[in-house]
Amino acid sequence: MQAAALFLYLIAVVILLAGTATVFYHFYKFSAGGGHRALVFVFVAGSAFLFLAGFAAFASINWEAILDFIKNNNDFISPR
Amino acid sequence: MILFRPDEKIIAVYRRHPVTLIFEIAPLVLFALVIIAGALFGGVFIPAKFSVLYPLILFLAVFFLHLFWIAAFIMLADFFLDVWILTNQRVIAVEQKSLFSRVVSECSLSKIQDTSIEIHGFIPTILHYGNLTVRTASEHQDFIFKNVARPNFISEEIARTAKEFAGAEQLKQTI
Repeated sequence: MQAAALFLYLIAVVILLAGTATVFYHFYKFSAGGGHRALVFVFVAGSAFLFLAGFAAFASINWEAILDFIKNNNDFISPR
Repeated sequence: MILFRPDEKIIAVYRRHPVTLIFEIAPLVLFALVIIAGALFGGVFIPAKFSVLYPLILFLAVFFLHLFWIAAFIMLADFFLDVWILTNQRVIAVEQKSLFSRVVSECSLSKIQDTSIEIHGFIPTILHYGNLTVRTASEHQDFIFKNVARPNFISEEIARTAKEFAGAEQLKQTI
């Protein structure tokens, strides 16, 4: 369960990193008629904060407890 | 990146009216606020039986907030990278169609024939923004300045700059 969750989390991180890099590239490469450094800084800072918050939230998940919760609340699975 | 000629001077840079950006981003902000409220109130009101699921809910909330954050900045990129530049020699239109899709077109001021303004709706009328179409002698395309603020003022500015450009060209030929 934990390995599967970690795999899904890594996929989510890759998707978010790709999105972050794409937006950053567009601002960095195609800026016309004035710089957008402040905006890029806000974006990168916000993304970094959300990555950290996401990691902290993921680390706090107790997968064993969730598995027990599912087993104990599903009539088709015998409780532990 | 746009390369300007050595003797070229930027007269003005136009973008869409900021209110159009607000209309685009507002639903996203609303959804984000609902997610934040759900995650915060979930911690208080979630029954003890389901409390084991709360960290998972929190993680999903952060994941969706991150997606919304990126989506909001894609909209901002679209807003800031859609730009129309008036120089003393030409008009340059840069349109960010979507991510990795960009159209840059330019037209010499000598080729501009006429302009027309379209303002439709209550809010554009109140806030003075709309579309300005610049018709050119080129058969390929007209330039449409989409949802720009004060299109009549821009139209006059283009006409004035085109006149000055024609005068300068005539002077060059005379000399």
